[in-house]
Amino acid sequence: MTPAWNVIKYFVMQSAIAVQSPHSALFALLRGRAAALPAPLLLLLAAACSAAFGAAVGSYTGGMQVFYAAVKMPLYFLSTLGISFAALHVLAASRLPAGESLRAASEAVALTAAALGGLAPVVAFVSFSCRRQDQASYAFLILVLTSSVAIGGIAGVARLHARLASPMLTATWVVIYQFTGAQMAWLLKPWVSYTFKADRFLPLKENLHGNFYESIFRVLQNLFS
Amino acid sequence: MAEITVPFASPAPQHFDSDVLRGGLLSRLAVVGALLRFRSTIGSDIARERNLGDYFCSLFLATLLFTAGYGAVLGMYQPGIQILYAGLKLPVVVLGTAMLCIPTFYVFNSILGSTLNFRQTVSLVFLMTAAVATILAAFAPIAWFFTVSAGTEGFLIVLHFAVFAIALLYAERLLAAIRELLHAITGGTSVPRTFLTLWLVLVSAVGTQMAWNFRPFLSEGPFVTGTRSLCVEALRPAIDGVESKR
Repeated sequence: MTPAWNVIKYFVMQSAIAVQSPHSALFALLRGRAAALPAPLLLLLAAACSAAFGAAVGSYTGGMQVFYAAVKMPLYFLSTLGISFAALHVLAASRLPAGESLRAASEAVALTAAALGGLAPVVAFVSFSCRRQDQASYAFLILVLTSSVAIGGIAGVARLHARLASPMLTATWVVIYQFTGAQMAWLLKPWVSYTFKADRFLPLKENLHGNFYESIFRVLQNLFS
Repeated sequence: MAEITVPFASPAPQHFDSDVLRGGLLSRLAVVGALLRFRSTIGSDIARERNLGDYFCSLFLATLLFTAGYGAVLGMYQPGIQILYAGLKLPVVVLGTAMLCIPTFYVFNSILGSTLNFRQTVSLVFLMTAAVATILAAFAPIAWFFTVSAGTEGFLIVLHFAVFAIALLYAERLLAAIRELLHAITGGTSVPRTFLTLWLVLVSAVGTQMAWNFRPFLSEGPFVTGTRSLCVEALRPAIDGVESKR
């Protein structure tokens, strides 16, 4: 047995225990028993699971893009939560203390990320199978990614609704988080990198021109002009 | 009335004990008999987490052997190295598809309220692959017969698709039966029915794409072509043909 094999074996065993153990955080999160988990642990889970999904997204281009997207995806989820949390909590303050608000928001984000992590192997396989620089394949990949995010989002929103027990508050939180999240995704692009250049981690200069909502407006303008 | 005895006929076993799976390589294949005849025992063992490691090894081995055999039959359309290639590729396709889809099954099944843990989930998934492989093995002689006697490529593609569809339907019925047993034994939700169907649709899609990635199976060619493309491109000539007729 080489040391490298022992290291791989150790990590595989530890991962299996982490997934399987009834005391593991992931087990509790998936089964809706995360009420006792501290928010930092939930955020750590969100980071790990979203990194797996990010890597799957980046595997269309391959190379460094796998790493870039794996780093950017947790950044997207956690920084969106960080920026929007004050607004989320203010709206829920009459019902929940700040700690509970953070836990509820973290649980919803972590569950969304866990659902995306569960889809990651399939998404990675589809990304890897799509023909390079082909419009139809690219469109299909985007459809798969959008559907995955929608499925993950539905899981997260359902859990959030269970925690907040108020449809109006849940809807408001979702709108605020998505409003911020759309711009965050715009700022952190490229994700898939259609140009197949895995040499751009975060082209801020380029991304700071315009924003997500302006680009949508321009698309609509072109459509009807 | 005198009892009629059939000479040399050994009585069929009336029960299955999963301890027998530890007996050696051939004993592991006893899981196939259990899969066909003693589903309640399998369901009970999975629910109580009894011998799950042995079940996993046995189901994996059965899948590996049977799919390799059916793969070899696929390759017989182009005798020679293609028999070996296809025999190696089909187990990769079936087992690879299962492994890719396990995390999705575990995560979403848990979110939907299942009480199954990861080991039980893995056992269920490999039960599905073994069921598919068993049906493939059962149809292998028929597939071989048509391959060597009357097979044009188009006909064989339809035939193999039909066999795979039957195998998947059989696996779906088996999982549905095991699901009911688990539900009865544990009292909790094992796998929601609609989710099971949706997941099997996902498995079919991933499996089809995986098979496309490892093409060719029938025609002569390399082990893998190495070109990236989606399986729907296989339909492109047909669509182009329809459009040109218009």
